[in-house]
Amino acid sequence: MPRTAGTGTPERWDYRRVLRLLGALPGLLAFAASILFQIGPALDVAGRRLCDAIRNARETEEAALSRFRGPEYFAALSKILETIPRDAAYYLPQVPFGHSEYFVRFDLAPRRPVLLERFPKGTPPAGAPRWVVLPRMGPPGPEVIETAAYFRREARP
Amino acid sequence: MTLAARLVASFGGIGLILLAGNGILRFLPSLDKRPFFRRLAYAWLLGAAGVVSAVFALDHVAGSPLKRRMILPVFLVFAACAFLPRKGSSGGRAPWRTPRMPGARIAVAAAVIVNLLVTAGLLSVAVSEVTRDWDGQMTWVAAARWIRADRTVDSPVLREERWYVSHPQYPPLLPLMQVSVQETFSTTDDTRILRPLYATFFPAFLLVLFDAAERRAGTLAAALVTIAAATIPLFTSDTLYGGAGTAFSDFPLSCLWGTGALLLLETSVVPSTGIAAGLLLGGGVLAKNEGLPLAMVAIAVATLTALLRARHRGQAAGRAVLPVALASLVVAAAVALVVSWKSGIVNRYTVRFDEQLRNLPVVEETLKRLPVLLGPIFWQMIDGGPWAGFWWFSPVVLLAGAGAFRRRPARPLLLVTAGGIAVYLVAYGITPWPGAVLVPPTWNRFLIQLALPVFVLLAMALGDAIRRVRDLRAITYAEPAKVNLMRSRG
Repeated sequence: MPRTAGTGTPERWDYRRVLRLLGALPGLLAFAASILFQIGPALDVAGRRLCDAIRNARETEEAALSRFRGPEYFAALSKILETIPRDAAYYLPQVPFGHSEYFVRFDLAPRRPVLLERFPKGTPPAGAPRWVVLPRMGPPGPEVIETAAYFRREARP
Repeated sequence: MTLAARLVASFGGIGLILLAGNGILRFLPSLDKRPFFRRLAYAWLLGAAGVVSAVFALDHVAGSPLKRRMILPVFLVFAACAFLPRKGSSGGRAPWRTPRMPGARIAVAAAVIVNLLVTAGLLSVAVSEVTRDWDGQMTWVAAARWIRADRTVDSPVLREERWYVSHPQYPPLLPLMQVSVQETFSTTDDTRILRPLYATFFPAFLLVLFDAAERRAGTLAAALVTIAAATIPLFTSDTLYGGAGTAFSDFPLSCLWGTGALLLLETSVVPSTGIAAGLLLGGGVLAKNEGLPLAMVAIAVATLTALLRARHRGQAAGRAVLPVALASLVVAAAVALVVSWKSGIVNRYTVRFDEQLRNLPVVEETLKRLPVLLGPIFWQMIDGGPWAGFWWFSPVVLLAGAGAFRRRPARPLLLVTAGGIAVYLVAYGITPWPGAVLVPPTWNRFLIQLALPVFVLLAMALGDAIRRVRDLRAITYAEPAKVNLMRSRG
């Protein structure tokens, strides 16, 4: 609004202008509240992250993964990593809930996963991967089985 | 790997991308003239988009294997350009000076301290914890491992139907960035080496936000808005969907697309700004599927804005749209690259939005689904965990400063934000997922993707509110004299 609007009396002109300007105050107060609400927890998280990083700085890759996934899972995974070569393929059955196969597949990459239906019938097809990895996040962790043995086990009534 | 070797690889990789991005900046004088720290942000984004895209093209088109002997020279050629003499300014604003107002100075100092602390926290968690987020494990980092093992972005594991891979056609710019650093520094697959690469998008985001907001809303509002952005838990999360600490591609896309869009929508756009915007929007196309429709929205809005501005200023339309045309050419090249890459991949274990888009009546489906979406979207936004109350307060700020949106610089930003939201609503409309099931895992990520224009709009509203309160102070102290003078004149 121009400073010399020239409409109405000076008193009325100032009154409307002051009201309009006062309309901005809730916005500023809301913004200040938003910052106050957010800043403490954000700095707290940053501080805790710094402390954790210093504490875990010298951790090996294996120790970091074991801390994240749990020692049973990590022990089981280590066995699978030794069994299946890096460039080999393996069967990965899909699990109904939780999608643990995604995480096991990630930990085993770049090994090549082939999706296996949950209850396979008969014998493994020609050219089938040699291993089946059963994805489990909880103890005792994922399990590796020879494909032929897995098919036999699943075929049992 | 030892701690020192890990840190050298992580921060050496960041330094290499920064230096190569600086090389690109030498050819873009409108950005190269900006203040040092902002230039670093643009260099990071241009390095991640431009140089990694070059590696992508060399591998996919020319068949060069992804080994150090191919990757490192590409980075070094771009990095060598950083030592070229800087060209004269061809647009943009004069370099930043210390603000005269004490309030703005204090706000800038506070923003620097808060943003540094939050960024330090984010980098700390990145260097000390393995990848823990869902999509990083399901898609992005897994893809990087297969790409690296096969030494090509056209990895048979991604291409062939027999392998169980989720979303094999997701664009590979970020996995390729990881592989480039891993190969250059001969690292293991330890994800703690790679995570700082993703986290570096966060300070770049804040610097670009400050630059864009300051140009449109002033220093004080820009500094305050960067504090607000830096303290939102979702943005700095390393586990929540899409945060800068995760290996999701949403935050990088937010930076690439948002920066490209903001550059194209500046009030004075020169051809070199257009090329920079094109590189960034193209980077977005190569980083995530949403990058393509979002780039189309940005280009459409920028074209419209340039034409209207030309008419208003009495300029020739051709000259006005030249920067947008240059940006479009670069984006078209990125689209050609990603389409060619996808054409060799059997798409599987994914939601086929492209087929849905072809087969369904899009508008009808979207409008039909819209009423079901609003509730879940609302609940996502008021969730205190990811947003810490940001969406409780910001509507009040936006309303209080709504006067800013009537001004010309705000209109294209409103349009581009609305266009982005329309893209997401269409995706929700045509998804084969029932009802609003897709909203909880995606809406916050979409808001992250739109964050730069949204926060610049917030800064404009805040700047408007600050100006009005300053005017109020002027009335309180200066107006009585004027009123008395008017009264004395009758």
